[in-house]
Amino acid sequence: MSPVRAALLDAAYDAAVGTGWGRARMGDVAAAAGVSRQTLYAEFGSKDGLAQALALREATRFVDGSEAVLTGHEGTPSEAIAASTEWTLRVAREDPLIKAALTDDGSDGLLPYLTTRSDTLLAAVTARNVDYLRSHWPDLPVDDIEFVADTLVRLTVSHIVSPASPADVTARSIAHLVDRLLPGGTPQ
Amino acid sequence: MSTRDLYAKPVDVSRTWDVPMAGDSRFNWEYDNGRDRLLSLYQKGKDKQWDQTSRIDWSIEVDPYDSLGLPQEVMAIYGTPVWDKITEQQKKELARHHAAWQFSQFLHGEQGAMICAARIVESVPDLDSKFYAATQTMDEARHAETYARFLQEKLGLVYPINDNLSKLLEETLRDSRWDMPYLGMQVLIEGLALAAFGMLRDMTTKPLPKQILSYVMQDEARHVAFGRLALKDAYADLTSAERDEREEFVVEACYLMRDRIRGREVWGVVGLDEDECDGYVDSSEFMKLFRNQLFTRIVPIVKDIGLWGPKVQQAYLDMGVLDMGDADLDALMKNDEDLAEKLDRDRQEAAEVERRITEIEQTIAVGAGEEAVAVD
Repeated sequence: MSPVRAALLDAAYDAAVGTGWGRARMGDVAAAAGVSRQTLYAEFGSKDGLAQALALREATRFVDGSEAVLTGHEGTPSEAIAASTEWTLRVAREDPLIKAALTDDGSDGLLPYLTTRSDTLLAAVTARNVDYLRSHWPDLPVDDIEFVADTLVRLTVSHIVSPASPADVTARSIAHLVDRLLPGGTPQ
Repeated sequence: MSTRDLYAKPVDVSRTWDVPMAGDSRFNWEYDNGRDRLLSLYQKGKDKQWDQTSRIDWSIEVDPYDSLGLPQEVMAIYGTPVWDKITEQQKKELARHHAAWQFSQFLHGEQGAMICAARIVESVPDLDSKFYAATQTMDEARHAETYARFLQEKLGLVYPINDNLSKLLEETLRDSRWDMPYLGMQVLIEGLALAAFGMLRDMTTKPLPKQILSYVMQDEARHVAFGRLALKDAYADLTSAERDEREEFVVEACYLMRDRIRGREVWGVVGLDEDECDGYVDSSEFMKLFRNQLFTRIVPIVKDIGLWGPKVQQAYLDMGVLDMGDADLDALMKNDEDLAEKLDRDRQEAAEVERRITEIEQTIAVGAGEEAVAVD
């Protein structure tokens, strides 16, 4: 990522966590990153484009973190998924940007990027999960893997937006479900 | 006297404020296919130049503590506990500072308009637009000169540029595309200023500010007409991404102008609590009306040039100014020109009456002298 793009995303993050996304001005984001409004629009196209890019960057951070937990885990894949999901849920609950998105009162906040407008984010995160699952269940049909990854991601996002139980309990249930959905393969 | 000594807050006048240049200076070798409407606007621009030294009557005395002759109700803190607490002297001081703040923003805005108009001369591709914008550059220079003289000679007090106004100016000027300075400066900032000029022109009971505001507004009618012509043509061909970007800019700028350029700095300078007094701006009946009225010129122009997408309409709906989009711009501008011309006629007639009275008095005096001689 170019330094300008990174600086603009940092500024967008600060604005979203600070004043809330609805009240954040593109002009202020550009100024905080030390570039013109024109440069900001050349980079992201619109405020919506900037929000999408920000959501994607944050989601990537989460996937990186959860993969680190997965790959460092020495138990079964199911246990590893439970551990990484628990990590994701815990970190999400403390994450300033997600907190801001969940508490933003206006209709023009960031929440839609986790709900009605989350398609880009879901697709990107799911793709990473597919890669991981395929490397561990190489015998299973790709369709099954994709279905499981999609379900896993959607469930996790749903529990981030609207938590039901403590993170460890939820994480174990999700891992259990993944186990059931992928019974035939030989985990490696 | 240096303006430094008149600023209400310290300003380092030895340093300039530098916004980096962006974009190309364009030459055009076709001298013969100007659009009729633009050329006639250019001709009008040349014909209607005026000079403050002769057209405005600077001999009129101005009480700096009541320069505009406005009722006390226009103060945002009128009728609040703060208002009841302060002395009459403080109220007069407040009136002076508010007028100085308002006219100072007009002044700095006109300097910005002059620089933006000059930028358009450089960057706009068509020669007819360049010619016209050159006359506008001169108009803005005359306006800045006039407001500066009013502040320096009559109020003896000048405010620095408001932070948010300078932010908006910078966003506008840093863009390399020729239409953006025009959209930001001429449509938005000047549109806001024009509405403020109009309200003060119609409310003031004092002759000098009335002259200044009426004559400045007479020129603005041409500026608005140019903005409509030039941008309407250009914006007809925008891609939807290009249009969205401009509409987001319009929305952000309008909220900024309504919510953050409202004289907050004055309260602190006169020794009142900035947060408390600024809070009253939201609840003051007069200020609510005033802040809405600031959009009477912007909204119909934004609609006219075609930046009328859902985001813009939603913002104007939230602000309660969407209906202003239906205003008759031509009639508004014609009215501004008519009022200036009427003021000229009224002043000529008053001068004529004055001259006749003097003549009659002289005749009577001469007659009385003759009578006295006859009695002798």
